Amino acid sequence: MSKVQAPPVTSKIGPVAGITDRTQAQFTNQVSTNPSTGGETRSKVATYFTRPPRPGEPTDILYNGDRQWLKLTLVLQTAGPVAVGTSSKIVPVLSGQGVLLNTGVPFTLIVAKGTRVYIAATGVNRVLVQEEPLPWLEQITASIGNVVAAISGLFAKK
Amino acid sequence: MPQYSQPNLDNFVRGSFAFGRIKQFLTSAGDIFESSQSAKAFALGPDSDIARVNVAYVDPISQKLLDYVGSIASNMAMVTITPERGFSGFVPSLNNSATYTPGLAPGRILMWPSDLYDSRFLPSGYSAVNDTLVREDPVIDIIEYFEDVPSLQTARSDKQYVYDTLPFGADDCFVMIPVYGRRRATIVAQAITQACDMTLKGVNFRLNDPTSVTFPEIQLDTDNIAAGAVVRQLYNAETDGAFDFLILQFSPTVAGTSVNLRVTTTDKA
Repeated sequence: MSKVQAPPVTSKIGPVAGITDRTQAQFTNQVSTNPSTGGETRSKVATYFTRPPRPGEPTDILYNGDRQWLKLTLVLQTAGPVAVGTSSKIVPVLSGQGVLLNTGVPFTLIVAKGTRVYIAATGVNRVLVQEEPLPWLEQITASIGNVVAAISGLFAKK
Repeated sequence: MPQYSQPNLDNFVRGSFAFGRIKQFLTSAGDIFESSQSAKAFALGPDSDIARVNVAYVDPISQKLLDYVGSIASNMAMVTITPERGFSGFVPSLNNSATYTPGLAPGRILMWPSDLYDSRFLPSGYSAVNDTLVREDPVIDIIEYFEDVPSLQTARSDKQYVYDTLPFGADDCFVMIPVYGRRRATIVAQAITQACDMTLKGVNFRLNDPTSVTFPEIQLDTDNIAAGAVVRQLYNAETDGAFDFLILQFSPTVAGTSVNLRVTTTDKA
């Protein structure tokens, strides 16, 4: 009686790039989780004081989102007017190009990685700023990107 | 003599206040205060002697101001706040967003007293050589709210002026008390050592008149206070007339007079 050999671990079309073991969940860590800093997962609450616009100076940046996804909550504590937006062209404040904050009403937006949030006002105003990191959104985005890349690679090899 | 100063309401914002307050002595009827902070409401403060304050702000809808020669277009809107009436609503300061004709200055909220006041006024019969003058300079008290106010409190507090012993020179002592918009005032005086005559007058200031340097005063009441006695006089705006200042003139019959005085002013009827 002849020995029955186990089927080969690779498929007939060859090994599939990016997916080596479909029985194990894939985890691609795109975000630094250095336990000594933990800076990517900490929330931040602070008070931001706006300033009158100065001729020739660029629009103030409230949040520079080049590091991660973020849930940003703003509460205007004074009369305003204060405008926020993702474009630097939100001046004049009352031109409607930005979003005007209402006094005492929280304004929440999800800031994608790579997005800047600008702020402009006609004078000194008090704005409560709450930053809540959303690192899993970046991981999800990276994983989706990997899957798309793998599928694209399959079709490219064909 | 009080000093005029321009408060910066931005400091109230930096100090986490929900309102900004301008409270100081008036130095003249021309004192103007500005604010670069937008407001949610305006109200007279509880310690204000001035009863009428004008608040001017930039109005994007041009308004025509009528004067006796015609009409002119202006972007300035004005409202007068009193103890009976504050002003609620968003008022933008628009400080540096634009400039406005004809001065090409950035927009501001401007506040100034509508009541007249002359810091140079001297009562009739007053002698700088022989008499003493105690003038209570009027206080202007304005509150600008930065947040929404559920209920706007505009009433003024009663004010009390207490003089344990009035200063006397060689002759009379004059006391000037602001009563802008006040409905009643109670004057209680005691001649501690010697008898004294007390005369109550009312005066309304007017704009500068180059042909006359005296302002008309109206005598309301006069009393003789015996030594050790206490006298009460009442001022009622409904029956005596509305005045800017009350003038109390104390004329001692004998030198060495000592007078204790207490004046209470109120907005209540």
